[in-house]
Amino acid sequence: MHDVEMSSLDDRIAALEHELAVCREGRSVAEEGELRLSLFLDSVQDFAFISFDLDGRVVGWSRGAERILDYPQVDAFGMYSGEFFTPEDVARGEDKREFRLAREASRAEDERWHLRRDGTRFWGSGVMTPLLDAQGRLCGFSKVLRDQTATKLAEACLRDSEERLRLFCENVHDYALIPVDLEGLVVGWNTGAARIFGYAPEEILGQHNSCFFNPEDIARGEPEQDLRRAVAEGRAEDARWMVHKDGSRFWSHWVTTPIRDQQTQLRGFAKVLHDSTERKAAEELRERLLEKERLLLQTQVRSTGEALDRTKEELRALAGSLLGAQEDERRRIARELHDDLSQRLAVLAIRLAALRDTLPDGPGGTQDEALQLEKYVAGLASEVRRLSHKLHPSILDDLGLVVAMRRLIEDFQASRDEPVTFIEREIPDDIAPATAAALFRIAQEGLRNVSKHAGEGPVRVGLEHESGALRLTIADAGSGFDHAAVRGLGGLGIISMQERAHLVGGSLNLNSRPGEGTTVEVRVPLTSDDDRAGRRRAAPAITKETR
Amino acid sequence: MTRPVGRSRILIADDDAPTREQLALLLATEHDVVALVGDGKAAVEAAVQLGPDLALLDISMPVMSGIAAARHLRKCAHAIKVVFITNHVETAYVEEAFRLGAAGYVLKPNLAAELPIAIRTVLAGGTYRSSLLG
Ligand SMILES: Nc1ncnc2c1ncn2[C@@H]1O[C@H](COP(=O)(O)OP(=O)(O)O)[C@@H](O)[C@H]1O
Ligand SMILES: [Mg+2]
Repeated sequence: MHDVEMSSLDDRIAALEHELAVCREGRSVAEEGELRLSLFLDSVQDFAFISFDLDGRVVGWSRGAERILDYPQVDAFGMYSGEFFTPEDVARGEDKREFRLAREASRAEDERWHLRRDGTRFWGSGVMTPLLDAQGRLCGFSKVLRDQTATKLAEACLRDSEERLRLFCENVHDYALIPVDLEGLVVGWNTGAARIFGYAPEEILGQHNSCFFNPEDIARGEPEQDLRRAVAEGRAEDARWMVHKDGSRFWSHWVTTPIRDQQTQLRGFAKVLHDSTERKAAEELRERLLEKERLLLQTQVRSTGEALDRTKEELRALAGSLLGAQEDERRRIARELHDDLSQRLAVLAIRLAALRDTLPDGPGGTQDEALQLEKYVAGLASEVRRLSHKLHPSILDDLGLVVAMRRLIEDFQASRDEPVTFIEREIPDDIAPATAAALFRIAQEGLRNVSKHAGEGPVRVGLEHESGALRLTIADAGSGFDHAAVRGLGGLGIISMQERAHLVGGSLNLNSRPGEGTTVEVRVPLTSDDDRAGRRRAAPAITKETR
Repeated sequence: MTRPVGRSRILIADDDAPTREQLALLLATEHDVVALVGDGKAAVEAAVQLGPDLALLDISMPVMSGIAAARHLRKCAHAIKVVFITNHVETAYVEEAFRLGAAGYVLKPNLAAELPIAIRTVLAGGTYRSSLLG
C-alpha cells in the first residue's frame, strides 16, 4: 500500500486535474486519460476520491471511498454530500458552506466527523476543489478525504492527559511540584510551590533550585548532591530546613526524581516538596509529651515505691505495736491471775490450815476433810499460776532470759523423749526487756514448730553472746522443709518470729531442707536502755507494766 | 539523831503502795524503816546511798525486778541482807533467790505471821524460808 503524504498528494491531484482538463479537449485522449485516472485513484485505497456535480450529488466514487465510507459505488452515485455529514453539521449548514468555500476560494480544507453507511462515525480530513470545464466554467467538485480517526484519538488523548496533568499539578496546593532542568534551574512552578515558598512564577523560573536550601546546606553542597543522588539511585529523599522567599525556614520532606525521555536520555528532575514544619513540630511536641509522661511515670513509680516502703514500715510498726499490745495485755492478765487470784487462794489455804487446827482430830474426821480442801485449793492455785505463766511468763521479767529459757526447755523436754539440750554462754543480766521478750517468744514459737512439724529427734537450743549481739539458735534433726514452698500458706509462726526479731533490730535466718532438719538462727543487737527507748518511740513494742 | 542500839535499818521495796505502808507499820516498832521505794532500780539506788542492814524486796516490780536488784546489790553492796517478799511459789523463783544469796524468802499471804520471825532470824545471821513453800 502506498503511503502518500497529503502535500505531495495535492500536487498529484493538481497534476491530474490538469491532465483531465487537457484530456477533455481531445476526446480520444480524454477517454484514455479518464481510464488512467480512475485506475490510479482506485489504487490509492487510503484516500476517498469523490466527485460531485453542481447540485452536490455524487458522480465519482473511488475504491478508497468505498472502503472508507462503506458504500458500494452503485449505491453512492447520486447521494447528496450532506448525507456523509453528521445531522448536527448539516443543521448548521456545514455541507453548503464547504461547497461555497471551494467555489470562492477554489479550495476548502475540512476536518470533521463523517458518517459511514452503518451510521458509525469517523474523523475525516480532506480538501474540496472546484472542477472547471475547458471554458473555465464551474462544472462540479472533487473531494479527497482521509480517515484520521486513530490519529485524532491519539492526539485527543495526548492533549487530554497533558491538560489533566497540568491541571493536577497546578491545583496541588499542599505539594510543591518543581521541575528543574539538567543545570538545576527551575523550569516549572505550581500553586503548591508558590504557596509554600512564596515566589511568584516569574520570580523563580530560571533560578537555580539551590535558593530553596539553607546557607549551611548550600555550603555543604547539598543541592548538587541531591541531584547526583537522584541520578545514581533513581530517587533522592531527604528532610531538611528549607528557606522561604522571605528567608524564614521551614522543615521540608522531599523527593527528587530524574526525568528521562523515551530514549532514557536524562532531561531534568522533578522535585516534590512538602512543608512538614507542623508535622515536625507535632512530632517534637509528641516526643516532648512522651518524655514528660515518661518522667512523670518515673516519679510516680518512685513515689509509689516510696509509698510502698512507707506502707511496709507502717505495717511493721503496726505489727510491732500489735505484738506489743498483745504482750502487754497478756502480761496484765497474767499478773492479775498470779498476784490477785492466786494470792487469794493462798490466803484461803492459810485460813483453811488455821481452821484445821481448831477442828477435832480423828480418823475420817473433819480435820481430814479440811486437809482435802487445802490440797484442792493448793491445786487450784498452781493451776492459776500455770495459766498465768502460759499467758505471760513473769519469770522472764522477774528472773531474766536465761532462767526463763531454762524453764522453757525443761517444760519442752518433759513433752518428748529425745534429749533437748540448752547451751548458754556469757549472757548478761541486763538484757533489754523487749529484746529478752522477743528472744523468748521466738524460742517458744520455734519449739512449738519442732513439736508440731519436725517429728522425732534431738533438739539443741543455744544462746550466745558474741560481739555486741545475742545469737539464739533452735536446731532440730527432724523432717525439715522447703521454706519457699510454705511461704504464704497462712502460717503465722515463722512470720511472727521474723517480725519479733526485726522489731528489736535483729534478723532471723531459717535454714531447712526436706530430710535435713531445721535450724532457726536469730541475731539481735545488745542495746543500752537509751537505744531501746529510741526504738520504742518508732515502733512501740512491749511497754513496761504498771500495776 | 542516834538510833537506839539493837534497832536495824530496813529498806522496803514493793510496787504496791498499800503493801509498803502495811509493811512499814508492821516493822516500825522493832526497826527503823529508812526508805520506801516502788521498783528495783530505786531500791538499788537507795540501798547504795543509805546502806541499810536489810532490804525487803518484792520480786515482781516494774523497771527492775527484785531479783535483778538483788543481783546488783550482790555486786555493789554485798553486806546488805536481802529478804524477798513475794507471791511466787515456783521452784525457779526460790532457787534463783537463794542462788543470789538471799537470806530470806517470805510469801505474802503469810506476811503478818512470818515476817517478824524471818527478819529476826536473818539479822541473827540465819536464813528463813517460808513455811508455805513446803
Ligand atoms: N521445725 C520445723 N520442721 C519442719 N517443718 C517446719 C518446721 N517449722 C516450720 N515448718 C513448716 O513451715 C510451715 C510454716 O510454719 P509456721 O509459719 O510456724 O506456721 P504453722 O506452724 O502455723 O503451720 C509449717 O506448716 C511447716 O510445714
Ligand atoms: Mg508454727
